[in-house]
Amino acid sequence: MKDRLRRSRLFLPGNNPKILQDGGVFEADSVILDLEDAVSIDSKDEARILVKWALRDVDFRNSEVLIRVNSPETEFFEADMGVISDRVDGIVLPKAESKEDVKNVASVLDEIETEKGIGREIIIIPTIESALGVLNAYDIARLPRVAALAFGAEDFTKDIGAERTPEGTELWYARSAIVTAAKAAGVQALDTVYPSVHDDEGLRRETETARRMGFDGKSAIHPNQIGIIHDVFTPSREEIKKALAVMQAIKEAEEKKSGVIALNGRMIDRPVVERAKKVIRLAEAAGIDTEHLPEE
Amino acid sequence: MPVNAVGREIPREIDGRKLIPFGGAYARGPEGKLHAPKIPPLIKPGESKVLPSLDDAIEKAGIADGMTLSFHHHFRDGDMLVNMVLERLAKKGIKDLKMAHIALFPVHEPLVKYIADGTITSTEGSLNGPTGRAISMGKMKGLATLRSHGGRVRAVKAGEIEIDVNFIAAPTADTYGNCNGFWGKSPCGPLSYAMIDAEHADKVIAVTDNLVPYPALPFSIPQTHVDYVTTVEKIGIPEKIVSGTTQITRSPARLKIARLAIQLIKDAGYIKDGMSFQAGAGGVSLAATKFLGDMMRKEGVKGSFAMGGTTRYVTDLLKEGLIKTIFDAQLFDLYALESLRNNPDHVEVSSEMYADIHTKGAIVNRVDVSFLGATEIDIDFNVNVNTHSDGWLLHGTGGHQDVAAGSDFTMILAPSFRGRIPVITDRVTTVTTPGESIDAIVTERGIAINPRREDILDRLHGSPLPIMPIESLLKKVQKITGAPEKPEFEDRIVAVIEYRDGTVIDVLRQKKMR
Amino acid sequence: MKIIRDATAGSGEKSDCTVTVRPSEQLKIDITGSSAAFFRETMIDEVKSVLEELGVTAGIIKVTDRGALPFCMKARVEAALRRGAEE
Repeated sequence: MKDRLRRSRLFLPGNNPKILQDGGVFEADSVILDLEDAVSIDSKDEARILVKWALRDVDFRNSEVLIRVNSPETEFFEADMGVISDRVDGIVLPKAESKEDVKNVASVLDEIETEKGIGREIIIIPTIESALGVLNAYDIARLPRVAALAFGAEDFTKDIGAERTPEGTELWYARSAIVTAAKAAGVQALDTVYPSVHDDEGLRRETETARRMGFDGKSAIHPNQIGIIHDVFTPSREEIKKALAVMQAIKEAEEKKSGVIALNGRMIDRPVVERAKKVIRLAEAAGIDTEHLPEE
Repeated sequence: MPVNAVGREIPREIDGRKLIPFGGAYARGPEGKLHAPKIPPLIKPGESKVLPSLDDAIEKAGIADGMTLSFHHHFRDGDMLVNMVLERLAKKGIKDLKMAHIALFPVHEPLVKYIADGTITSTEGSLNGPTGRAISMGKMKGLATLRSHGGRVRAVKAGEIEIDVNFIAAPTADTYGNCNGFWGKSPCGPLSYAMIDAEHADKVIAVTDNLVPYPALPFSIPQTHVDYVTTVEKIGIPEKIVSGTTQITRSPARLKIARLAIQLIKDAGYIKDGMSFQAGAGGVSLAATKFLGDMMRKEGVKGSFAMGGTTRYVTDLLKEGLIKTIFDAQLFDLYALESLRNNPDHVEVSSEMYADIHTKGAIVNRVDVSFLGATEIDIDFNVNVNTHSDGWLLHGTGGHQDVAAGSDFTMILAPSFRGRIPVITDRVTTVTTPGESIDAIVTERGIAINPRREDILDRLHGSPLPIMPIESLLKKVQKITGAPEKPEFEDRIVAVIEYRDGTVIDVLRQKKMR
Repeated sequence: MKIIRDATAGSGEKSDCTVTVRPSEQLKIDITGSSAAFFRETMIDEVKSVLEELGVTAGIIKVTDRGALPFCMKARVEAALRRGAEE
């Protein structure tokens, strides 16, 4: 499903059985079985086989199952794509720089879907992690199969010759550009990982920034980061109340068969409606019963 | 053979000892009078209790074949006294001793040879590690009896364990026998488990590496119980008390268990002013304690007391004012020691006050929520902490039965499998604690509530927690691991697992070697 | 598939296992390690299922376990076989 919630995407190193076996336990919106950076060159083959068996046997529960393959330019790409089965929801494509990069992967997916009889569309989440990728982000985001653009800050910083700082000022333009491109193309924008596993406060701050910038989710390199990320993406009570009021106004307009939706005497346009729907979805994902909001 | 209330066959008698089958957590009331030691010998003014060496103390105490000796376990894997004493007794050729220690640890491996050569022929305490393994292999002539902390106190008071000589590893002792664990070069904190033995033993020897002028304060063990005082170079290694348990687990699956447990307590309605809890050591318990503190802070709740296993995380809650009192029977780190020394709201309690069922009310009865561990849990909620799933005797009971029976809401926090070995099983290898005392099992893959607790199930109605019947949890786990082969045993019974009231909840047979 | 050289896959980490394969005329499966006491027969069957799937009929397969779940052990067997097989 292209527009499912992706507040959190948890990376699971592809050659680590201890983490893979619990992949479904941490309630990440998506899990990424990683064949790329988390796997050393010598272990690419056994990681691929381990991921293949994990896809057969491990229950990833409600998490969307994504595979991060090695770049199409590497010798590993073709074999990596071989692990795709009907248990896979999507591909995370590293270092996406042009629409050709994504189109090539899409045509491989066309073949695999036919060959393996997979009756649904496997999505692609291109990772933008270079200057060129940022500039081409909109063209990439518009392609079929693309469900979201992800940002990869580590490689991007290296590519532009910037220094990685805790405040992330050097990433400001790329983040904004990716959110803008993604939203213009009608797909999600997903922020980079927060690399300091033990710095909960730093993770919270960075996730809050990402959310305020318009990102729909953040990637996690450790399961303990999931709770904080979800917490940040949980709407406040005020936001939920406002969204509920909008939904009520829609309902009333429908009942009156009125084409115009109004709330407190002001007209509501489509983006506001969409936003309200999303707030309700996020609240429900966080386990909040929006029909019975508790009193303060 | 009679079958007890948890479905285990219990022989009527072993080696002339009559066994009473377990009938339920509160099925058996006490009878008779308390056991008493001999009236102490006359000690006149001016007489000295100080003896020049441990050898002299052993000589003076008149230890002979067939006697019962007791030791506390406050140093856990850092204890040095048990090995020192047993080595000397073995050298003297003394045989047929009954070891009524509280608990042995891997450091006590030298006792394996004394078990095999008949120096020790029966044990009355917990066995953690090599000594338990030796007994599983059938190396000991007589029986091992395993009891809970409270159950052991009860057995001493009832005269079922008659202690001839009690050795107290005393971090501080004065020349007239007052002892404490607060000070000295080898502090261990409370001497809770030594108290009852000192009261009931015929001879009591305080062995210290910090002999101080009279009087030593506080006197956790008073002079009135102590016959002799002697010194050795070192009695124990405090750093080894911790045995690697002072760090919060970093395993994401275990942290998830701790988080689920705290959310469960909250949804079940236990986060409220005046709440009390039992804290433990071990990575998951520490995490649960920390998260409980976070929850209390968030909800603006002030608790009453925590019963230790005391660690830094519990003492932090006291310091912050989130709880009013710590009752301490065993501490696990130096933060807890500092707190015990300096904070008047952190107090040492005897193991009797902590856990004994045959008192006029133990502290465990006042505990609201407790977090315990398990090696195995079955679909009747019975818990095994004594044996591994392969049938080796490897752990003592500790306070498990006492806390589970006493506290209002007892949770088992455990992973659903370790390695490939399932923790949730259809039938535990050995029953330590009956299912009737267990209210919830919290694993990373789901929570099961004991169906007896209809009140809790009602309160949890509508909770978003992954609550499921225990049978579903079992199925889930078996789908992942497969069903293991059951261990095989010989006919010979090597250990009796007592319930805290003196009845027998299970027996353990000699392990069959392939 | 035929084993033509010694090969190893997996690791000695917890929840993993090390699988070593060696060429041989006979088929021999050797299981040691933490789960062996509980799952020996099951584990032998699981190894055999992978051998069958890959058409391997001979060789010495040695599994040293540290608590691997079935999916992991099967993956390590497959990886070792592929590494030890003809190109």
